[in-house]
Amino acid sequence: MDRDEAVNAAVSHPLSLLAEITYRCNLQCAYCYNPLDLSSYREELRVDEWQRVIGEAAALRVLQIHFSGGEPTLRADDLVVMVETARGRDLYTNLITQGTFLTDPLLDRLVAAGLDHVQVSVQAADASAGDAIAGAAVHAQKFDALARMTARGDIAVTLNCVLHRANIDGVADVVALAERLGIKRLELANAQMYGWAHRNRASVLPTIDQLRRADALATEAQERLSGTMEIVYVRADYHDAFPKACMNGWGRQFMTVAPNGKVLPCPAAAAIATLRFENVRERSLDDIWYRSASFKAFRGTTWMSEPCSSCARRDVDFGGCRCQAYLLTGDAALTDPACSLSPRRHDVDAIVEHAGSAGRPSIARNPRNEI
Amino acid sequence: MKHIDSTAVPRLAAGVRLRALDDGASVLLVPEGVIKLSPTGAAVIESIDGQRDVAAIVAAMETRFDASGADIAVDVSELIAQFAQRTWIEMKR
Repeated sequence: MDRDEAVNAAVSHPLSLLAEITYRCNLQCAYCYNPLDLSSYREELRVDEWQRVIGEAAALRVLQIHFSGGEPTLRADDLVVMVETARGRDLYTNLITQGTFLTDPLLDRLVAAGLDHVQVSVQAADASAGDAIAGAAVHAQKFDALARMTARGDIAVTLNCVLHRANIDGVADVVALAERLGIKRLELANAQMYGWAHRNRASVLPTIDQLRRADALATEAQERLSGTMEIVYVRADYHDAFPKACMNGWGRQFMTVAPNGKVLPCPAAAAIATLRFENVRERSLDDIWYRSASFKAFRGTTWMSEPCSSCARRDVDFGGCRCQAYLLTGDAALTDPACSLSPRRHDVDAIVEHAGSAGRPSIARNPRNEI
Repeated sequence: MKHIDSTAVPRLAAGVRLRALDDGASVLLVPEGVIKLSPTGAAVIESIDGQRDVAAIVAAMETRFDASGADIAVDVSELIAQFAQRTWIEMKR
């Protein structure tokens, strides 16, 4: 077998597709993982193109589709059509939103279209902190939407809060808020250092002390609320001994379609300048999943070098995150420097150690600040 | 493991559904996840209709798999308890 055959011998169909239908957003969160060159994505796929993509995904035996962005409800009419199309193909439909445009009429239309689940993100438990982080006065709107959604009871809701230096000390308040709202599923996710978060790392990354307190509070809440509320706590991998199993392996279960039709093995992959990504406007999803050079690039374990290639964990964390390896070393094929076995781990240790000391100030995520 | 009352009535939570795949296997689709089910697990989930209590589901499984006794009761209760813990199943008393 040549390398390509070996790589693809074990490849299975994708389980999940992230449909980023626009990168436009009315919020300006400094921790956003969207790419910095937002204006490169202005030529968004039309709704009929998305419908074709959804059909191709169903034929590829994708089971779940996540509509995200940017803020996907900025394309509300298109979104309703896409949800209906996906449910027509028996896909599980998930909307990932910051919730500011979830009016009752829109919720009615989404429920009628068959939407299975909504993930609503909040920036903090209280309005002034939340609005400051979002860079917009939106906190009240979000909480109004959340209260209406839990009251109507016909839609499953996950509350999501991305944790970073400015809000991580408020973890217990976010848990208390979720309890008050009667939320069944809460995601407390430490910010991942991609896109705007990577640019703003000096102010986004929490200190070790902050993180230890949050870890303990999250664990306490998980135990206390077990069976009532599921709390998913996503750890910060810069602070861990081993990297995350990013995407459960490159080109193994997940694919992302960016607003302009680019197909990515990971939502942050467009940052890897050494790879060329295919577009659904030119090739089918099936062709891209099974035959594109970008999806084959880091599939399996044959691309690995030491210390990954002989590591017992190579099928556990797949060498960590390719985008993170690229962002921190300039080489996407190296061991993720977040791994304690990486010869570059000291770079991450230095970043973690300096978290909290004065650094480059954050810039707001908006098209005016793009690079 | 929490004790499951045999008169409690389980139902699938909002945002959770069973799906049969082309190859005959079944999965439980949950918020942001896909749970592979064994044939027995799929049969248990299929029999959860928001009407039948745990005892009735155990009886249905005994008939379906032509077996009886403590083993099936334990398997059914464990699966329901485990999924209830994850909030995929809600219990009504």
